[in-house]
Amino acid sequence: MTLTVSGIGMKFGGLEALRDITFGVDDGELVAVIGPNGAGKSTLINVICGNYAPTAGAIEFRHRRIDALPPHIMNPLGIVRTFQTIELFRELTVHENVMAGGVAGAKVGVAPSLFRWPSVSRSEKALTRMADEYLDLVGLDRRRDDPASVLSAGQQRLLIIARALASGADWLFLDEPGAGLNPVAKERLAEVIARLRDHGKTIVFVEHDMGFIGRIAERIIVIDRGRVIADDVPEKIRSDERVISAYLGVGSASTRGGRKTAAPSKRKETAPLLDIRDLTVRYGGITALQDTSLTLMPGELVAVVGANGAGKSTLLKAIMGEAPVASGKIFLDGQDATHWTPRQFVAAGLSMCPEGRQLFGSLSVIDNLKLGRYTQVGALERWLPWSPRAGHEGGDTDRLIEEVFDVFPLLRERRDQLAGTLSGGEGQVLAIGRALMNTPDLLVLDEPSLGVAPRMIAEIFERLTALRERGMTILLVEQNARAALEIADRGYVLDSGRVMVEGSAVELLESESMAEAYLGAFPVSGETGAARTGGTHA
Amino acid sequence: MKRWTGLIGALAIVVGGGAQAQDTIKIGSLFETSGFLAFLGNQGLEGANLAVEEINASGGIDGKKIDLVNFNTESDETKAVIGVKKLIERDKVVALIGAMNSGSTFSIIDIVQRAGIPIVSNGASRAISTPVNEKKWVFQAPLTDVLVINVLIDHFKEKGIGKIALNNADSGFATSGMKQWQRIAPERGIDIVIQQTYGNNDPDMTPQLTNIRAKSEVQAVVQWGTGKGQAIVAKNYRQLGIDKPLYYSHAASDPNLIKLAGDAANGIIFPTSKIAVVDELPDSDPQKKVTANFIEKFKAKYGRGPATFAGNGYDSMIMLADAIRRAGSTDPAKIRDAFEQTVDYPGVTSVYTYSAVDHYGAQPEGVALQIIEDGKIRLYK
Amino acid sequence: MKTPLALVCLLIVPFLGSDYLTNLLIVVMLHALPAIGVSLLMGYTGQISLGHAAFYGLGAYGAAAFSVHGGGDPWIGIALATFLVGVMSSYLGWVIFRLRGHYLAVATLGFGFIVNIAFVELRDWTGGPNGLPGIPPLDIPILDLSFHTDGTFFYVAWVAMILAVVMAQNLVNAPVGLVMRGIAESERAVSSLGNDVTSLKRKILVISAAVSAASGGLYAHYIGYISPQPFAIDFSIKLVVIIAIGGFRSIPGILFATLFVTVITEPLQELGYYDVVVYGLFLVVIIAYMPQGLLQGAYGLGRRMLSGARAPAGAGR
Repeated sequence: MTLTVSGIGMKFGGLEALRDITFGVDDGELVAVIGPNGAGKSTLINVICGNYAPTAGAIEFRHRRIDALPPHIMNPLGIVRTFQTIELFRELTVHENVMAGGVAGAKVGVAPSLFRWPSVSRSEKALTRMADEYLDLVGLDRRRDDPASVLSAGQQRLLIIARALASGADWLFLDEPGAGLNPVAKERLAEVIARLRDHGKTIVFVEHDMGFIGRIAERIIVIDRGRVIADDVPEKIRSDERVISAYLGVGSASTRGGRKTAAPSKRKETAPLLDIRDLTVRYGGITALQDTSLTLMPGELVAVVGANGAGKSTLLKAIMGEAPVASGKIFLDGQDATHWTPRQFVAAGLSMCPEGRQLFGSLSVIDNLKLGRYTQVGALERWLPWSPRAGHEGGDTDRLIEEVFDVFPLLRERRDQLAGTLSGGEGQVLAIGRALMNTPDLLVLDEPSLGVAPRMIAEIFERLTALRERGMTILLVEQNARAALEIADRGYVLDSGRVMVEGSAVELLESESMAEAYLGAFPVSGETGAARTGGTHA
Repeated sequence: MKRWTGLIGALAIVVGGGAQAQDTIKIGSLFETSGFLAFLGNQGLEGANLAVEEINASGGIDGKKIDLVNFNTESDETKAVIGVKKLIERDKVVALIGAMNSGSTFSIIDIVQRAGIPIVSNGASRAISTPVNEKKWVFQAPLTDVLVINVLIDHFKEKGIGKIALNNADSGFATSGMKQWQRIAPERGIDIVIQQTYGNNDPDMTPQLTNIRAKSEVQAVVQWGTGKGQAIVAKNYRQLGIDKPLYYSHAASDPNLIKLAGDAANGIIFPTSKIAVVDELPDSDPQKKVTANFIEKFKAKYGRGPATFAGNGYDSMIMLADAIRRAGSTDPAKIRDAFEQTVDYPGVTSVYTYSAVDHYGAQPEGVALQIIEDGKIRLYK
Repeated sequence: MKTPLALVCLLIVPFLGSDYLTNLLIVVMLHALPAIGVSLLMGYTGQISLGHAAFYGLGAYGAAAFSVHGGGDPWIGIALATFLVGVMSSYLGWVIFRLRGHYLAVATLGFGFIVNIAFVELRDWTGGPNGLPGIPPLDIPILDLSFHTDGTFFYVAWVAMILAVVMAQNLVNAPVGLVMRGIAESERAVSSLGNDVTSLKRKILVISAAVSAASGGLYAHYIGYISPQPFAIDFSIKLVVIIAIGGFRSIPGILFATLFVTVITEPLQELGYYDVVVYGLFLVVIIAYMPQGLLQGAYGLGRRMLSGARAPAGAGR
């Protein structure tokens, strides 16, 4: 094996992102690394490529220990990476981006550059030629002199691959090269990757789209919760039980038995609290959400599930007024809220508990809760809190904090602890508590199980059921589909920006199509996409 | 193309000078109306403008009015260089009044020397006009430390004080003062028993004053500094219960001293110009009339009393006008020669006598010892 | 490119017979050097510096001390000061480039303060707050050249500026220039492509500091007197203002901006006490509405107004 990863562990404070990861990759292989959101895939790439030093284990490349070497040392050894966030040089042209990739390898010094010694001109010529070749290879030669910033997302992803190639390294680690790409662009990407392999490059890439992966990868490494749970050819992976449960999540034991069959239709006659009709959202040229409809009745707990990149985040952004809505409508409590600002949504009683929790780490638990109340506090209270007339809202805040403490007794115990020192699960509880301080009519939760230990997931979801019983309307967006559907009244399954299936939670849990939406046994999006837009492809 | 037009446009702004009237006498001034010394520059400019108004109201000089052109040097030396060249070349001034900032004057000495334009500087540093044979065109109007130190020493001699303590800040003003004390005092038979230095921004001067208190042979304490530091010294001095007479530099005329030090300021004796004590002066004092007139007119024009440095600007302008009148010409060289012959001219800040070997001008009789009593400045008798 | 032509045309300025204009342009050219230095570091490489006045001052004091206290040849003094400031900035870079963004800004600001305090406090060497007078003017005795007057010193400043402009242009147009601009956008991408980012930043800092120091040395020998005040933090901020007006990444733009900032305050003096207010407002407008710099911004505005005149309905703001 040219690259051997043995027993790698990575801890960030209390969070163990990678545990005992061991595998090897040979020259010329084409390997996909998959896993649910938060599994540790990006961390793994960061560790191998020198962005983080692992806290345990060893990495060898061509018989040399490379763990903890910085990236710029890694590159001359033959390892280069791309970033999920693209990290394009937007101020440079397409051609200059690729040239910039080769500068380190060309070894043109700063001092010779000042005086424009002949060696500088020579390397400049060589770099120009090389950049043209790589642009040709990824098919961007016609955009050569355009500013990089005007390229489409797909072209930008191809450009950073060309730029990485220009560095001279022949082992490429691609972090989500297909993220945000439409089917046509993905098709292009697949072609380029295949071509690179034919040129003898070794490629390791992280990806979510199982259809895409199935088509090009020869080997798949599956990671879940920081461990390798499978490492095999694609056909075997798709039928692997552990992989399926990693993606769909495991039902939380405590709620499974205790699930009360709620009466989802008890208020059928009333108007929906949230009503989304045929919503389409586009970013630039990319359609992130298409003709999506969703209703939420008062008192309901509805789950929106789907794999990463399915459009869940976009849906939430639209509900908070932060997404460019191309067509369709959003109604909140009967009012047209399609073009509301986030403030208006909050004022109308919607409270968001964001992905990653977004707590104020240097403030105490109780101060985080108070901040959740801030928008509701009157001007008097805000600026003159000692004024006798400001007392009313203050008392309100204290009463609400007590209520939140009643729902989550754990927070009472830790009221003076700094939020930054809480564990993932405790932090999530605080985030929910903070959202409740706003006395919402509608509570929206984005991936509350992310980075939370299984025992705490069960605890949190149980609390959500309790909130729902108190009459709260809840929209739960979750990747852990099983856990979410077990407490939900109804569910929607999103895939590639569309609602694939919807129905009662019980139906969905038993449905075969669920697994398909996640693991791509469906006719893959790439193929259908290519067929759909085939006419315009020229 | 666009870059070219931009450049030309900018040059046009620079080169396109204003039309010049020939029936006026142009005097340039370099007062800083912005930057860190703006509070001094603004006072100086007010004083100079008042002088110009007064001269022009009484018919100007031989029928020609004075046109004072100020260039704001922004308390910046590089700007001062640009400004002095502009005034000499574009405005064709025949004489200059210098900035309050000593640095701004230092940076332009070579230029005025080469151009042959007399300048009356308001910077206090003695090095500005020494050695005189190399600084033919440079005169100074403010009180200098050497002058006031000599006045104090005269007073010590009179009182039989021979042993003193010196406490000074580490600012430019105070360091220069310290060096002059250490040079002049031994020459004149005064023994500096102990010398202490404090940081200009120090919040407490007790350590230095405790050291001074320990020297029982000391007969008087001399304090040299500016700003809030000298107020802190006064407070610490009273707190430590030092009962020896306390003398300050001419910087003690800063009204903030009394404001900040309160009762602790009472009893401080300091030598300075007579502007604060004009009412107590005997009628025989040549400066009494001039100063009273200045204060009255200043109040009428600006609606408030003049600060010390306004007097500097006023004196510089009045003396220049006098020199021009005596020269009977606006030729800079003749103005210079006439200015050098100024003798016993009573100004607001001092009585001035210049000569070929003395370009400071200010004379000891222009300085009066003053004392703070009940929060008021009184003539020391 | 009209810029080279404009720069060559400057050569006739001393013959126009105006010392004032000559002097003004000397100051502009001397200030253009540190401005170019800041642009390389901040504009191109994206590393903020609020301490460049310190490098300028160290160059000035170093060169001045060498000839005043050491009696050495001024040219050697300037070269030596430039070299030492370069070496020092390399070590400084090793310390401060552990920081980014606001932290880097504060660190460079602190450096500027420390150096300025040193100028004030090291009296024996710097003359303290009263400054250091008697710095000899420049000569080249072998060629029988002297640069004592504005008209002659102009050419020294001109050559220095041309050298700085040419070298800066060479650098930013070379392949390394692409990597510099890459660092400004994404350090991790640049690093993954095999570039030692910290080392590169340090090299740019050295160039940037050295060009500032050289200019400071020339300044000292031009004016003949230096004090700590022109090298205080105000000048560092002025440099940042210059490169903002110049559009951060344009050498011609920065030359123009240096001229502009030095010259604009002159007509504004007509406004008396309010000149500072108007100047401030002006800067705010430029920085807020002309991110490409005044040159490009005014050009764009002019074009918009022209097209607006042709089609009044189409004019935007």
